[in-house]
Amino acid sequence: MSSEQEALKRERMTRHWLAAERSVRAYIAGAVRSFADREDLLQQVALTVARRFDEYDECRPFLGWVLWLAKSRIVDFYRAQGRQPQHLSEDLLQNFAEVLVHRHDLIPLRHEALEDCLQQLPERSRRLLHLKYQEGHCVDHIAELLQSTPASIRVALFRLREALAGCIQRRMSAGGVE
Amino acid sequence: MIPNEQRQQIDRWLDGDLSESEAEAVICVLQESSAALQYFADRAVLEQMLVGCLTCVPVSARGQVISAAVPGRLAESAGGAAGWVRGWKLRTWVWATSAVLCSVLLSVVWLLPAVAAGPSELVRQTLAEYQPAMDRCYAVQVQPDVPQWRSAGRRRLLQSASTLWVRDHSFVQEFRSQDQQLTWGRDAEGAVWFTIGGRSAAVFMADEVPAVLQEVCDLRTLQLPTLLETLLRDYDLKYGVQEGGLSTILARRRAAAGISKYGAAEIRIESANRLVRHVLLERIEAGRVVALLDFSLQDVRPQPDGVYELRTHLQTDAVVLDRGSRAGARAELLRNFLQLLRNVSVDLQRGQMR
Repeated sequence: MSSEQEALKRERMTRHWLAAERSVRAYIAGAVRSFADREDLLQQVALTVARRFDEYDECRPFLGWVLWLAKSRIVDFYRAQGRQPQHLSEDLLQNFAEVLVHRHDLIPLRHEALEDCLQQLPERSRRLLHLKYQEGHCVDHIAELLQSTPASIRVALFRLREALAGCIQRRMSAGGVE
Repeated sequence: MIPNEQRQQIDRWLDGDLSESEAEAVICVLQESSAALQYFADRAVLEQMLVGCLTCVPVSARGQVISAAVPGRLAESAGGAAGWVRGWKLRTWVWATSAVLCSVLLSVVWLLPAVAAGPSELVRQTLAEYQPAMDRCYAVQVQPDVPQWRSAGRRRLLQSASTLWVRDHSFVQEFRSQDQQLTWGRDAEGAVWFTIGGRSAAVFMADEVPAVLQEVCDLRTLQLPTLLETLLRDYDLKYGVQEGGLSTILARRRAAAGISKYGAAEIRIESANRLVRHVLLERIEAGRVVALLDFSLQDVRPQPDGVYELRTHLQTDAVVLDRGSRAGARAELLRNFLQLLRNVSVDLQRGQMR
């Protein structure tokens, strides 16, 4: 393969990966509880995609192919850990992947809606989200920082995410997207 | 609609905040209820969007919310934007990501029999003689260094390298892999810009720089005067190995110095002219070391002013997104840029395997 063809191929791969990455992250986050393991698996999947991109059939959805690769990596990861009750079954992993593929096309619209919804949040809510998603603190540590209790923080985060999900849904409905 | 309690448990699953028995119960629900599985998928996607989306809110809009909860003296010294104390999220990108950078400085000047002085005196002299208008080039490496990342494979995977030119508060940094070129910088007006291969680009004026870009500044660059002032104020200093005309100073942060984004440091200063040749710095997040930052001086040579400006790095057909572009388009390109930074690391790994 000429260097130009190689460059074009890699550009296609990068474009596909960028479009799929958020769903891949969601998939791994749903299947693996440890944040460090999630990052490790994401890197493994990215490497696998890079190594095996020649096998990808461009007539088929890229996300489906990547989640199939990711599923294999997750199963390997489970196997290395030994059977544990909190592991998702292969059937469940498959179903989860299918749901994500089904939702994938709407993610850019959802993301745009989310950005609008975040702008409307009061300062305290932003602070909580920042501690959770930017600082990456666990619930217990957030509770310490905010001089609250872990239970209260869990409830507050839950309500906040529910509110954001509702806001996103309303905005998409208003835009004619269900 | 699934029961409220199950929805809360699903949220906690995604937070990694469930006991084994609770996690087992969630799995049962997911297996039995397609509605629960759909909710689970929606929530997983929402979580990932939140990680990316929060980083797109300008620093100025989110202000000092956190600084009240997590004071940091380094942040105070770095001014308003850096007052936003945030950790580098490995997961946001190496990430993050991590993704995105500002100005490093390491240098300086005149002749003096430096080592005769104590380490604090040498740092003081170096700071006094620092010349901000001098163009300097550094090789920058960022290497994750958390315990769970310490296996050789992971370290190699995530290590990334770049070239950084700095003049005062302006900088330009370039990442190259086999087929990818990413460039970003800050011009003399304080605008932060980036370009992907010279074709796609975005620029953020000084008053609208997103937090994530500010974070990458903190991660991949550092300002020498700020560093030296901080060393004098908050660190215990002692000499390390003295060889080849270089004085090595080992800096350990005092316990009483409060929370900071930086931990231990090692700095090598050329004894004859007090030029800072090398800086190794621990990056701290949530009380632990998450990365080692390595700045190595490569060149000191006058550069044209345009080196620090976006236009110099664009191809003729480039599309540049700015404040007036469609809402969300610039943020989306920024996300892509941050992701590509991570891909550059993956490319490095692939190159090593070949």
